Amino acid sequence: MRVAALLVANVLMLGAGFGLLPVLGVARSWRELVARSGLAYLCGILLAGIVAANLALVHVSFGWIGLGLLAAVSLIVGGRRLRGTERPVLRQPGWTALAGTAVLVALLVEYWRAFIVAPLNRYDAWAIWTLKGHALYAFGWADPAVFAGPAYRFANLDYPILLPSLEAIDFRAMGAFDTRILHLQFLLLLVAALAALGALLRDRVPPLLLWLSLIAIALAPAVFDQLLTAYADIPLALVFAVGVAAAGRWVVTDERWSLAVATLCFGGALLTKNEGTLFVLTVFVALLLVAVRRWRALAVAAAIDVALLLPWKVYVRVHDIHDINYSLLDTFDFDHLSGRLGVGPIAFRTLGSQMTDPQQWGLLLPLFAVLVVAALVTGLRALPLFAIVWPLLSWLGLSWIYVVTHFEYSSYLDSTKARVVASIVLGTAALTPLLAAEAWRAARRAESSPRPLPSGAGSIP
Amino acid sequence: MEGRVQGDPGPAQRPPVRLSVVVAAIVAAVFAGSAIIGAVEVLPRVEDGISKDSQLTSAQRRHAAGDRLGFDPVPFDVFRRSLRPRDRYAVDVPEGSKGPFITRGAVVRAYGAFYFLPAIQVRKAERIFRYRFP
Repeated sequence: MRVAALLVANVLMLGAGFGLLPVLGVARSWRELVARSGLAYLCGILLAGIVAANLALVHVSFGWIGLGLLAAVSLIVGGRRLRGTERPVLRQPGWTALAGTAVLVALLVEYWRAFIVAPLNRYDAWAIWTLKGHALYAFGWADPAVFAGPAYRFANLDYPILLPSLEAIDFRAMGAFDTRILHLQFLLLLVAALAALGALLRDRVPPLLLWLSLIAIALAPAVFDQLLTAYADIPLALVFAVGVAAAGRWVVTDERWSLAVATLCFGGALLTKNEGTLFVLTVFVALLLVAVRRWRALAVAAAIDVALLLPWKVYVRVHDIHDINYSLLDTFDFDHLSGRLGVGPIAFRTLGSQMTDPQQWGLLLPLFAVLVVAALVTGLRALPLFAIVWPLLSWLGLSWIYVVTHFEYSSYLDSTKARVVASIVLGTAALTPLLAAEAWRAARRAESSPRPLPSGAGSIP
Repeated sequence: MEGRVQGDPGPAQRPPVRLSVVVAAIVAAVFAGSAIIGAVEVLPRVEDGISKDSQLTSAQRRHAAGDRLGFDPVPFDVFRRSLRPRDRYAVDVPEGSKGPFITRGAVVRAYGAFYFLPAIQVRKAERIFRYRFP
C-alpha cells in the first residue's frame, strides 16, 4: 500500500512535468510533447521539489493536496499552450530502442529488489538527509527548532532542502516515516534521469550509442552503491548531468528550450547540495566562454537559478547558520593556508584516480577524454571546450575545498572522495554521446567533402 | 561512370571503410565494455544486498543505523516511548573516543536526534536521555 502511495505521488510529479514541458518551450505541439516526454518525469520531480522546498520555508506543508494542485495547474497551463497544435504520430520503435529498453527495464527491476529491502544505516543518510525529511514531514515546515537548532548543527544545516522536501512528500504520501520504501524514490530518480537523457539526446545521437551510454551509466557500480546509501551525491549528480547534457545541446543547437531545461536542472542542483553551487558555477563559466555572444540568454538563466536559491540563502542568513565543514572565505586566511597548499595536488590526484577507477565508474571518464580529443581533431571547438572547462574547474574547486577545510585533510578526503566526484563523472558521461555524435558528424562532413568545415554547430559562436 | 569518363577519380578515392565508422564502432565497443565491467562488479553486489537485507526484521531495520554504530538499542527504545511530538529533551553522554570528525558522544547525540524525532533535542532540558558506552 505504501509502495502504491509513493508511486501515485510520483505519477502526480510526472503529470506536473508533462504540464511544465510546454511552459519551458520543450514542447510546442502535442507531437513534440510525445517525442520529448522522457523529460517530463525529471522536470516534474524538480518542480515538486523546488516548490516544496521553498514552501517549507514559509510554513506551508506540501503533501497530497499540494502535489495534486501542482499537477492539475501544470497540466491545465501546459494543455492550453498546446491547444490546436500538431497531433502526435505514433511510430514503430527501432530494434535498438526496444533492446535498450528491455535491458534497462531488466536492470532497474533487479535494482528495485535491492532498494525495497535496503536499511537506512549510513551516517549522512540518517544524520542529514532523512532526519530533515522526517522533520519536514512531522512539523510541516522547516521549523527552526530543528533546521536552525544548535543541537542539530551536526546535520549540515546550511545544506539546501530539496532532497528532504522530496522525502517529506513521500512520507506524507505514504502516511508514515518509512525508511525502507523511501529508497525507491532514489531509484526513481535514476529512472527519471535516464529517461531525461534519452529524450534530450535521441534526435542528436545515433540510437546504438545513446542506449549503450545510458546502460553504461546505469551499470556504473558507484551509481548503484551510492544511490542505495540514500545520500544526496548521486541525486545531485543525476540532476546536474541532465543539466550538463541540456547545456551541451544548447551550445550546439542554440535551442532556447534546452537552455530552459538546463536552467531547471541547475536550479535543482543548487537546491540539492552546497557542492551544486560549485558545479553550476563552473558550467556557467564554461558556457560563457564558448557562447559569449549569447550572454543575454545565459544571464537570464543564471538569474533564474539565483532566484531559486535565494529564499534558502535568506533563511540561512536569518538564522545565522554556517557551514561546519569548510568556508570558502578561508581562501583568504593566509595563516591557515600557508601549511596546507600541498594538500591541493594530493586532493587533485586522489579525486582523479577516483574518477577513473573502473570498479566505480567503468570506462565512462576515459571514453569522455578520448572523445573530447576526437572532437577537437575533427575541428569542433565550442562543445569540446565546454566539455573540458567545466569538469576541470569543478575538479580544481573540489580539490581546493580540501585545502581550506579545517578538518584533517586525509580523513576528510578518504571519507568523501568517492562521492564528491559523482557529479563530474556523470556530467561528463552525459556529454559523451553528444560529443561522439557531433565528432561523427564533423568527421563525415570532412570525409565527404575536401572543403573546410562550415562554421556552425561546433564553432564558437 | 560519367566521372570516370571525364577523368574525375571522385568516389573511387574514398577508402572502402570510412574512418568515422571505425571510430564509431570503437566508441560503441568501449561503452559496451564499460557496461560489462559495471555489470560484473555491480550485479553480484545487488544479489548480495537482496539476500542480506531481505532477512532483516522490522526491529533490526528500525535500529539499522544504531546497530552499525554498535549502540545498545534498549535505552533508545525505552526513552522514545516516553516522548511525545515536540517534547524537548537533552542528551547526557560522555564524549568518548574522538573519531576523525566528531566524538563518539556526538554520534550518540546525532543518533538520538534522528531516532527521537519528532521530539526535539536541545542543549538543556528537564527530560534527559542518558547513555553510557558499554
